[in-house]
Amino acid sequence: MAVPKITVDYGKCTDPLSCTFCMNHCPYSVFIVGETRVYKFRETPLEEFRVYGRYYDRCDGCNVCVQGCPKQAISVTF
Amino acid sequence: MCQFCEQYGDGGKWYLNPKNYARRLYKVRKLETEVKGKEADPQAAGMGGGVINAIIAARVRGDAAAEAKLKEDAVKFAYAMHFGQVVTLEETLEILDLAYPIAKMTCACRRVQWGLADARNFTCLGIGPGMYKWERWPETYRGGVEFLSAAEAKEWVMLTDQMGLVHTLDAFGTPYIGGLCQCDYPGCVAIRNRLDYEFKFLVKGEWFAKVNWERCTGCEKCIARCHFRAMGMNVNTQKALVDPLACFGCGLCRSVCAADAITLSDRNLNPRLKDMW
Ligand code: SF4
Ligand code: SF4
Repeated sequence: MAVPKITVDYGKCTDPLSCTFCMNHCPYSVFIVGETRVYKFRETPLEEFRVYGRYYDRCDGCNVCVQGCPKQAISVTF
Repeated sequence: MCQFCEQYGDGGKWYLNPKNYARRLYKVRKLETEVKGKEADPQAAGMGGGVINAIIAARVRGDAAAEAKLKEDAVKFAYAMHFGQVVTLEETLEILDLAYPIAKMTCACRRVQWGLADARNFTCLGIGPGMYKWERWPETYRGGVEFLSAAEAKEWVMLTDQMGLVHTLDAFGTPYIGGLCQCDYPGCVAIRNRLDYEFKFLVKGEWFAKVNWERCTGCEKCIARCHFRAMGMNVNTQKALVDPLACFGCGLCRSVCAADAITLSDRNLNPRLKDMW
């Protein structure tokens, strides 16, 4: 199966929940965001969320995410 | 009868059995590690999300046997602990008379899938005594909770039905039911993983839809309501079609039909569908 490698540079993408560009613009909803830590008695701070190309097998390489990411953090390579 | 009704229904539907809403959820946990925060796998986020990465990897490798085994093990674990099932609007309203307390909360799946802001994301209902521990795990209930009366919750659920959202219930420690979601494809991780990867974390509802062609006016309103790719138009007759093998029995097509052409039939009484969950 020809699938891409989708990487997100977490040095550049540090607060995905305040941005959400890739999550809302990928036509196949490839991206998901999740917590890297969970705490008792408080919410996870926003900078502890990371975005991933979980459903990369659905990606057709349209590059909407790569071109639109305001931090230029995403790469998609087949 | 679905396996959960057989085991936990006491002769009826398992989710209409009041016993399954009465779990003692307060447990003593290991305090120190939890206050410091524990590592979480962001890739595992969303209802039933933990295993999907491995399923996708197996599929990409072309390893069908590994994919099947992963699903078999994960589903077995899910059915014993945490899984979902599609229910109709009427059933959701009935459940709201059985469960207490009821609280509106943000949807973890749609946060995962779209990063939906908390203010726009209060579509899930947390139900049962588990809701009292929301303050202990604020991340699970991100954005806080809003306790509702049964009447308020019913009004809300009817609105979400008009919006076209699928009603599902969630077991948290089977057979205890702790959540009622109103969600969509692909926003609901469970619906998505079932449709795109045949991962049966989400079980079909007890019903399936039929269209009465004598009544159907061909308005096509129902078609867009189906999240399960079960509907289309018959080109020759210009009437709506339901694929019974694909239908999950959510009833959303039916609630929009002004001609009353769509009815739900009992999956358990249909010889072809009774074992398809
Ligand atoms: S390249 Fe297109 S299809 Fe692939 S992840 Fe980016 S937006 Fe989605
Ligand atoms: S055909 Fe109707 S009842 Fe069946 S899954 Fe689609 S919307 Fe729901």
